[in-house]
Amino acid sequence: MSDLATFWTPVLITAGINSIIALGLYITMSSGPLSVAHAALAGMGGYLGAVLTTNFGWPFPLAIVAGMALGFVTGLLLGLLIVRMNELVAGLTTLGFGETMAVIAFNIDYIGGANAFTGIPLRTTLPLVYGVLAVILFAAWRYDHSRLGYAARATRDSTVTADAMGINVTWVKSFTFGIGAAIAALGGVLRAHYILVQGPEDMGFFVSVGFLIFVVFGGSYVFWGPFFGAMTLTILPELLRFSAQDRFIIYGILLTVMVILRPQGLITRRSMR
Amino acid sequence: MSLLLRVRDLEVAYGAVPAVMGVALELPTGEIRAILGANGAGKSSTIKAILGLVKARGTIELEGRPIHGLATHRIHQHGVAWVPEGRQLFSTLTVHENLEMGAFSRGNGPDFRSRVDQTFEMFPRLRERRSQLAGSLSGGEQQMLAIARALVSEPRLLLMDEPSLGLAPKVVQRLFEQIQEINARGLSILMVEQNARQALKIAHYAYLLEAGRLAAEGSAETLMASEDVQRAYLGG
Amino acid sequence: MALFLQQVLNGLMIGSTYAIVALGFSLVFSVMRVVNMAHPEFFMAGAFGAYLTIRYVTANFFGVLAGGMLVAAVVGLVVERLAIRPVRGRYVLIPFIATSGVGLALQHLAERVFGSDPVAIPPVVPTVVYSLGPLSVTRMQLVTFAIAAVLMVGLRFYVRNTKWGRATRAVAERPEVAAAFGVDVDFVSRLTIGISALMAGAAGVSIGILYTSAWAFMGLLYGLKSFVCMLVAGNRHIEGVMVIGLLLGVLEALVSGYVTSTLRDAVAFGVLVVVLVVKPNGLFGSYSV
Repeated sequence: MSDLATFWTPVLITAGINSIIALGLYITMSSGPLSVAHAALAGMGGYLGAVLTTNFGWPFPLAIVAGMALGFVTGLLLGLLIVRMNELVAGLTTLGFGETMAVIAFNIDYIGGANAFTGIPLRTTLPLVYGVLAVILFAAWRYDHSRLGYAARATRDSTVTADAMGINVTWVKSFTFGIGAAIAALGGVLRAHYILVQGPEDMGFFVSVGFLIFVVFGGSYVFWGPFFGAMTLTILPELLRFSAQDRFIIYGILLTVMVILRPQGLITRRSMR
Repeated sequence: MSLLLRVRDLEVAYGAVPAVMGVALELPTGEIRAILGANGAGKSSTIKAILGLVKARGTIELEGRPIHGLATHRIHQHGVAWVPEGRQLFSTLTVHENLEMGAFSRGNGPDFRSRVDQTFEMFPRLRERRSQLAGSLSGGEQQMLAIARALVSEPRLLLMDEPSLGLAPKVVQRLFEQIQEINARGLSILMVEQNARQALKIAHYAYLLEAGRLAAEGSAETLMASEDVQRAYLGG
Repeated sequence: MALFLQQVLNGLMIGSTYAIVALGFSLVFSVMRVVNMAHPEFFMAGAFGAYLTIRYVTANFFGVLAGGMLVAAVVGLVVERLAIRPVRGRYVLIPFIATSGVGLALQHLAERVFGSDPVAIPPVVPTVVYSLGPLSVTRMQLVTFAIAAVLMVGLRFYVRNTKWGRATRAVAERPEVAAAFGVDVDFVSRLTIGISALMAGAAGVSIGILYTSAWAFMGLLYGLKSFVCMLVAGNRHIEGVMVIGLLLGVLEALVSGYVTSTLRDAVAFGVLVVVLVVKPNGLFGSYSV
């Protein structure tokens, strides 16, 4: 029994953290923009939380709040920046942002530079992750049915129409970006305090693509989608004993296939009925 | 008189929105026929369907040979040339290069050069502007180039989409005279036009489209005299 | 002064590879309106192609170059068939995501086949150093620059003076009209991807030999730098991307020589940040997607 636990605990924790970050990405993308910066946002949260607990002895919950605050502010600013851009340029901007953050992290020795920030205390446990995940799932459910959620979806479908309907598109887009970024940062703090290492290599574009696939595969229109996508795509490769490289090859192919054949993902609002 | 082009039961839809519903038309060799109608009546969609640029259902035959379903670039090889709505020149290419593109599937040999010369005879202003970028020409010159580009491959069928669009009345008059000259040389022309008056002056026969369906058809004289056409398009 | 000129020289040599990778990327975007995120993998494929050629075929430099470019071209055509052709003309983010997926898969496929550690590429160009006064340059650097120069001139000639080059420009501007005049647009797309892959592949061969190694993830950094070049230069003129690539190389070399070499890769990103802040939409303004 304990063998099973030692094998599955890390997998479940990772799946839980991936789900949290995927949900963050979901909320950001619910108002339209494609973000490939979420790995970087998670990383930023991770770095801040880690520095606060390791170097300054902050209690873990406060570090989490700090990480989320950083994520929210960054996301808000990023959202404001891309609000007027056409979607492709906006996506490319998030790409640029993410990579720039990764390079900056790579070059700041205080947080470890190329050697990553180590010595982070272990604070993340399985119950904590799933407790947080439950809260986020609940929040995402309420979000989907909230006025903001509807406004976001309207904006995603057509900015012009949403504008005409009286929705403040600028506010909706940047606010959802901020919230999504905060949740991603939350995931990042949890992750840093589980793996005990936070490095710049987890912040790049292709890492973000890895989260994107959870959303594209699982479904980007309903909050169950990214959760399903993250859980399935994290746990299934373990069940099937894929090596790390095989897993990413499959992810890549799956992303391409899904976006060509069924871009709305597996779980759509219709399939939920 | 043989039929150059025959279209039956043409249906074009953009997604769930139907644009053309059951249109039939014919173009005998040597004639000018016009497709008239208001904006959104389905005129351009008909032309695009013949060119294979939009998905369509129905029969489209060129000299008896079905061309429906052929890839667009093959249709040009059958002698069909297009003067698109709004000219749609290659503005980053020179006048000469636009002509070279017009003859793309026929090659640039001495044959091409003599055809270019013929074209320049018809449109001398283009010869002066030979090496200029097409985007720098005036509206009337652009229309000339659009027609020249279509003619340079010596097509059998010329599809013209709104040739008078955006041109001054005097230019339009000269333009339609030139279209008649081109037709007199043996080129069959199917023309979409909003300027019904001008079109009916030079066309032999015309079709009137309304909301994607054929509302009326007949010889130019018949349509000019018809009350519906008069009321709707010629201003009474 | 000598240090300055030496760095400029080094920078031009490396910059020429940035230029041809960026050119290929930019070409595909101009002609097909697709941001091909798998483009850096053509570069990587070129380097591995060189490795495989040396190992199994020949150590003759031209053979290696041809082998590397060929492998890159094959990868290019596969990517075109799988991730670009099915989505051309659809909502603009879809090719971006689709090619990102293929890029991710290709990187890890290379990792699986060749391992996660860099693979050594034996020097097929003898290490000869030429001195021009106080400046020195290696033979391989010169070869790299020569290859890039030939490719750039060749591309310019192709685009301006050949029938298919004209057709490519026509397709870039108005694909429907080009098709109506007999241009097989699918063929032009394949041709364009093939050219972009050949160019990136050549750069991959050069860099692989220059740094004597090939690595599954070597495309990442190169890809991003060429992407920055394309963003900065805009898409109106091919020449712009070339010049920006060379400039980036020079800038990096100068920063490396005068400030610190660890910041070298950050230069591109610094440029990116400045550009994004100053002119977020303007650079793509000439081609509204």
